[in-house]
Amino acid sequence: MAVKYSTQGLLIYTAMFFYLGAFVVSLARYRKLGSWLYFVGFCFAATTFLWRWIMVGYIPLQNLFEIFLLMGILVWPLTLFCSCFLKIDAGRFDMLIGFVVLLPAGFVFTAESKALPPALQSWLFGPHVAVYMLAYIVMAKAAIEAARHLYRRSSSLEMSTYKMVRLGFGLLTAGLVLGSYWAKQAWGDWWGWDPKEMWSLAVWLIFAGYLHFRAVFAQKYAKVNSFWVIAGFSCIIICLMWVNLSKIFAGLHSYAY
Amino acid sequence: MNILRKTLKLSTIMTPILLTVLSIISAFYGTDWSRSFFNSFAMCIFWVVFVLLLAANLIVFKPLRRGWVLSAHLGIICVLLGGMIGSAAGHKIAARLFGIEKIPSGFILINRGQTETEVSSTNLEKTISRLNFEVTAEDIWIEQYYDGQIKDFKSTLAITKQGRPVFKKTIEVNRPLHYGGYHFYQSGFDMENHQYTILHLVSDSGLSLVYFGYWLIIAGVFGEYWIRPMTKYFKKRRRDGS
Repeated sequence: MAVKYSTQGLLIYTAMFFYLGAFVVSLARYRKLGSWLYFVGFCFAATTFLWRWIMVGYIPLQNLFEIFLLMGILVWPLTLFCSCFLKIDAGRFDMLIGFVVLLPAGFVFTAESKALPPALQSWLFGPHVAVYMLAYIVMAKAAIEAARHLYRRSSSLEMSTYKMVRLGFGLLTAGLVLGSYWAKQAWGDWWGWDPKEMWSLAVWLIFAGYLHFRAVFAQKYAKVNSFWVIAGFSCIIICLMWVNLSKIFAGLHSYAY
Repeated sequence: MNILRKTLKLSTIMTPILLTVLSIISAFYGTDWSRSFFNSFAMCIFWVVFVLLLAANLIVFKPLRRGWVLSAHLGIICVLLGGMIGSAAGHKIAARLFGIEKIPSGFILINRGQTETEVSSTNLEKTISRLNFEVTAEDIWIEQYYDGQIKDFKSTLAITKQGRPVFKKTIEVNRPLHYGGYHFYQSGFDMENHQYTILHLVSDSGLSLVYFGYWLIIAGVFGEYWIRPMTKYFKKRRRDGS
C-alpha cells in the first residue's frame, strides 16, 4: 500500500472518484451525466499525467506507477474512437477500466521518480511503451466485450470483441517490433530471450491464433472465440506484472519495476 | 492429396501452439536458459520446420496469398531466416560453406588512447578473434546528472584500416557504431579510474533481412486489420450517402 497525500495523489483520487461516479451513474441509466463525469475524470487524469511529466522532466513511462497513469488517460479517447468509428458503445465499462487501472497508481506503487538510466535514453522509449499500453487497454476492452458476450450470448458483442482485437493486434505488433528495434540499438540483440519478451511473444501468438481461428470459423464457435480473448488478456496481465511477480527472473526489463 | 493438405494444416497449427507453450515455459527459467534452449539442436530443427511449413502453406492454400496476408506471413519467414543467419549456428555454417569468417559476438577492452584489434569472450579472458581493422579509443568519459547519478557512458572511437583512418564516431548506450559487418556497443566502463572502456561487438549478419521482415509484418497486419476495415467503412458510408 502506498497512499499518496501529495497534490499528485489528490488528482489521481479525484480522477478515480469521477470515473467510478460516471460508472455508477451510467448504470442507473443517467447516460448523459455519466459521460460528462467520465470526461471530467479524464481531465483530472490527464492533468496528473502532465504534472508528472513536468515534475520528472522525461516522458513518465519508466515504472509501473507511471504506466498505469498513462492507461488511466488512454481509456477516454479510446471510448470516443470506438463509439464514433467502430460503433461499439460500451462506454460505462470503459469508465470501470479507467477506475481499475488508476487503482494501482493510486494505492499500490510508490510515486518515487528516478533519473533516466542510459538504456532508456532513446526516442523509442516513448513510442514502445505508449503503443504497448494502448494495446493493453484495447485488449482489456476486448476482454470485457468477450465476457459480456459469454453472459448475454449476442452475436453483435462477439463482433465488437473481434473489432477490438483487430485494433489491438496492430498495436501489439507495433509494440513488439519497436521493442525489438530498440533492443538492437541499446543491447545489441533484436531478440534477447528475456522473460518479458517471451511473455509478450506468447501474447502475440495467442492473439494471432485467435485471429486465424476467427478467420476460419467466423461465429461458428462463438464461445471459444470469447474464451480465447479472455485467456489472451490474462496473459497480458501476467506479462505486464511479470517483473513484479517474479523478481528472480526480472531480466533486462527489470528497471520497469 | 487431401490427406496431405490436412496433415500440412494440422502440423502448421501445432508449431505456433508449441512455440507459445515453450515461450511461457522459458519465461520461468530466465534469459540464459531460454537463449541456450532456443538455440539448441532440437530447436534449430523446429525453426527450420516452422519456416518450411509456413512456406508450404503459402504455396498450397490460395487464401493466404492475398496481398496483406501474404505480406505478414512472408515477413515472419524473413524474420526467422534472418535470425537463423545471425545465430551462432548460422555463422558456423557460413564459415564452412562460404568461408565467411565472422564471429557472432564478442567484447573488446580498450584503454584510453590505445588501439585494439583483439576480440575476447564474454568474461574478457580469452581472445576469440582478431579484426581486420583497428579500433582506437580516442577519448572516454562519463556524463552525470546534477545529483551525481550516471547519465551516460561515452567513447570516441576511431576506425583505421592498416593505419589509414576510415572514420570516427562517439558512441554511447543506444548509439552504436556500424563498421565492417559489426555493430560496436558501449557495454562497460572503468568506473573507478576512467581508464578503459568495454565494447560489445555484434555481427550484423541477417539483420537487414529481419528488419525487412518487420516492415512486411507491420504492413501486413495494419493492412489487413486497419486499412481494409477502414476502406470498407468509408466505401459503405459513401454508398449510404448517395
